[in-house]
This record gives sequence, C-alpha cells and structure tokens, in this order.
Amino acid sequence: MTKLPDDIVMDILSRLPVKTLMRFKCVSKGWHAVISNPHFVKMHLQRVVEGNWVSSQRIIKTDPLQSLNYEAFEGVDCDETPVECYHDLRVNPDYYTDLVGSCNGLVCVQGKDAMLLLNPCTRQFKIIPGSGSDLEDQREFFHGLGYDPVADDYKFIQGAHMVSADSIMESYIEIYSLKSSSWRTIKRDANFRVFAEGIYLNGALHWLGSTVDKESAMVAFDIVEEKFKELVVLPDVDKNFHPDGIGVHGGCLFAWAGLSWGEQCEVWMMSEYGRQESWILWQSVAADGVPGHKHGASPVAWTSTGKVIIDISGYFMVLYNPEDGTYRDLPVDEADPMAHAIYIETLVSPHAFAEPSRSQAPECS
Amino acid sequence: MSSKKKVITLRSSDGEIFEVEEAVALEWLTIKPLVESGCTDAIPLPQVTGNILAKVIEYCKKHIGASESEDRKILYELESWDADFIKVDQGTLFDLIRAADYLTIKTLFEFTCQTVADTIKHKTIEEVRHIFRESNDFTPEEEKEIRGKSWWLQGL
Repeated sequence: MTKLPDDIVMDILSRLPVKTLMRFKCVSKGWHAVISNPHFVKMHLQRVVEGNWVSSQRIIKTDPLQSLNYEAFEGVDCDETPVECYHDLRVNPDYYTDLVGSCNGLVCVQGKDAMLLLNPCTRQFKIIPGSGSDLEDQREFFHGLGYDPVADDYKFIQGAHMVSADSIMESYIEIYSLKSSSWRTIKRDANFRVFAEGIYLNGALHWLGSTVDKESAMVAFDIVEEKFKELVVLPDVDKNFHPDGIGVHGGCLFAWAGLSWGEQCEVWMMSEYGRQESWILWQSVAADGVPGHKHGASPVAWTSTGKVIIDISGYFMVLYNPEDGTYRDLPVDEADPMAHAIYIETLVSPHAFAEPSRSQAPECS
Repeated sequence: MSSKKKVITLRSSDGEIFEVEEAVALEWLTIKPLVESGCTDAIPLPQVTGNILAKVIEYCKKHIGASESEDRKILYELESWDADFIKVDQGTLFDLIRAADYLTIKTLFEFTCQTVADTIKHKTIEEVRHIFRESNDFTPEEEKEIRGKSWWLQGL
C-alpha cells in the first residue's frame, strides 16, 4: 500500500488538537517538518477558528499564571490535564501579573517594563520590551493583543485618553509590531472611549466602551486600519439590558448584565459577527446560591453541558450548574486580584517571525 | 429511477462499468466539465478501482439532497448510515480518501479525513507510524531531544 500524499496527510493532521500534534512530531522527520511548517500552523488555526473553537477553548488566569481546561472538570476529555502551571518557564511569576488578552492562541501578560508573549499550549514564549512611556499610569488606560491579517503581523496595542497641549481630548496609542520588533505611536480623536483589556476577535479588539452620544457601546479597534468604530448596537431589550461586560465564547462575542447576580444574569450572544440582528439571549441565570456573588460575579465560559464558569469577585472561580443551582470551586490558586482571559489552543508561535534564540522548554530530567 | 433521468457511464481502473445519475456525477468536480459537455462515452477513471468506485457511488447516492436537509430525523438517520458506511478496514478508508481527492468530492473527502483524524487522536506513535507507513528516521538522540521538548505531554 502506498503512502497518502503529503497534502492529504496535512489535511488530516490539521483536524487534530495541538497536544496530539506535539506528540506526533516524533512520528518521522517528514511529520515533524509538516507540523512545524508555518503554512500548516495557519491551516490548523483556521480550522480551530472556523470549526473547533469550543473544543479548543481554555481559560488563562493570573496570578500565578495557570491555564484551565475547564471541560475536563466534567470528565469529557479526561486525558487532558485540567490545570497547568508555568513556574518552570523561568520568568519571574510575580513580575507578570497583568493579563492583557489573547489572540490566535497567544496570550500576552504585561509586566513593569516588559511583556510576556506566551503560547500556553506549546509553552513557547518571548519577552517583548516595553515602550518606555508612562501611558499605563494614566487613568483611562487600555491595551490588547491583535492580529493584522493584511500585514500578517501580531500587534500589541496600548493607549490612553489624554488632554493634548491644545486642550483637546485625544487617544494616544502605542503599537508594537511583532514582525518589525518595534514601537510606534499614533493619535486618534477621542470620540470613542475604552478602558482596560480589549477582547480580540475577527481582526479587531473589542471593549464595552462609550461614544460621543452613547454611554455604553460595543467599541471595536480595527487592527488593520488602526481606527476605532462602533461595531454594532448593543441589545436593548425593553430598555432593561444594561451590560456590565463583554466576553468571547465559541468564536462569538457576548454581552452580560447583572453585576451582583442578586437576581438574574442575562447573557446575550452575537451569533454572527458584526450583524445587529444576530443578538440572541444565550442564558438567563440566577447564581444566588454561590457565596460571594453579591460582591461581583461575571460569567467566563460555558461547558458543553451548559454549566457556567463564574468569576467570583475576581478572587476565585466556580463551575455552576444553572439546572439545579449546585456549584463547585475550580481547583485553581486564588488570586487577589485575579485576571483571566479566554484563549484557543493553536500552534501559533511567539517566534513566528524569528527563530527562538534558545530552547524554551526545559529538558526532561 | 425515472427513465427520463440522464445517466452517466463510468469505467473503473479495472474495467468495471458503472452507471450513475447525472445529478450525482455533477457533484464530482473533476468530471463535472465532461458531464456538462454531454459526453456519452464511458468516462475512464484510471485511479479508482471498481470496489472503491462502488462505495463512492453508494455514499454519493445516499447523500444527494439529504445533506442539505433541515429535517433532524433525516440528518440523524444519515449520521447513523454514515457510521455504518465507514466501518471499513484502514486500506479501504485510505483508498476512499484518495478517490474523493481525485474526483474532488468535498463531502466524502471531509468525512473520510475527519474519520481518520478521530481514529488516530489517541493512538501511540508506533501505531500511527504503522497506519501511515511512516518509518522512524530519527536518530535515537534526535528522538530523545524532541520527546524531551514535550516533556509535559508525557503520560498522555
């Protein structure tokens, strides 16, 4: 029997999870070359984004830095380690505490003078120098990690709304390009106001922000055009929906409301990106049995059986079953405060545009 | 079958003759231009044997129209039919992939490739080498280094 042609083998392999592919690098030199090939990495990423998003979705949290395969807490894929730690990466764990966000499987953590760009699944990482500015000390500071599909480049974005010398409110934005390894600065008018971490999806970063005439709006920063815009109008059901936050699940943006969870938390999902009519009520849930929820709780992710992972007061996380109101603590180290983000498991390397200077994972002892 | 339906004749690599409805043949992008040109001779398929071509036709006849159905019952039945259809040995499965690739039948190609991916997901390196006829061309040192780099995956 003859071998399957390379392009067919590639097609089959692109359907496998990253951990399986890391293992299959040992099959032969040919397979090692295929799995390391940048074209294959993109093909695999595209398949994850278009079809396997939910099963590839994980949570990354600080501090300490840990990743959670939350689906495994239900025993769906028991051969996966549910919680992974990153102490061994030899980067000072106390140093990188501010989680900026994730894009195409890369996670960005900000430190005082530098940033850590990490693929939690392959454990490859890179340290990026800070811009040297004091933007992050500004009150209205925002940041995020995004991908520019036109330039084929990863961009780290940080900015703040500040009053210029002419007493005009402006957005100062610093952009780091992974491809050129350099920082540059742009200015935009302050018609759109955003704060904190942006959520990456579909070539743009997203915030629950505000516009000139709206107190609350879904604001997007286009990574290619480097401009703010209002993506869609938020769902405004009976004028009673006042979102407290946004998130991403299964490749869709969602908006949620119900800060203290004292009564109901309502989650609206934008089932088709950028289409106003596609908002659907995803879940309406009361979590009043969970201790601490009154001090602030937010939905993070959903399991395939409809259980919801809830961040309680930015201190710990629970797996909550809305069917019967039961919950269990997730076995992650508590943090104060805890930051978290959703990422997908991909082969994308932080060294996509340069060879790593040294082996990034310790050898087997 | 209605006598009005146009029939296309196909000839496998081992000379077997098959007749399929035009609607089925039009889904095979490789021969679509020939079918559309009104070719009445038997279309030679030198890369597909008769037993594989019979399986391919069986799959496509079952799927035509049904894949697009929104009736959950029909889709459920199709799924269980697919599960039975694909209970074949490794060699036949790979031959079906090659045939679907050669004839450019997207649904069959997707289905067979996904089946192989699901099958090998939990297999050992040695089993995968055997299935894909890959030989271990690493030196022991190279293999140790690659396995060492993925130390956190051990035990999976």
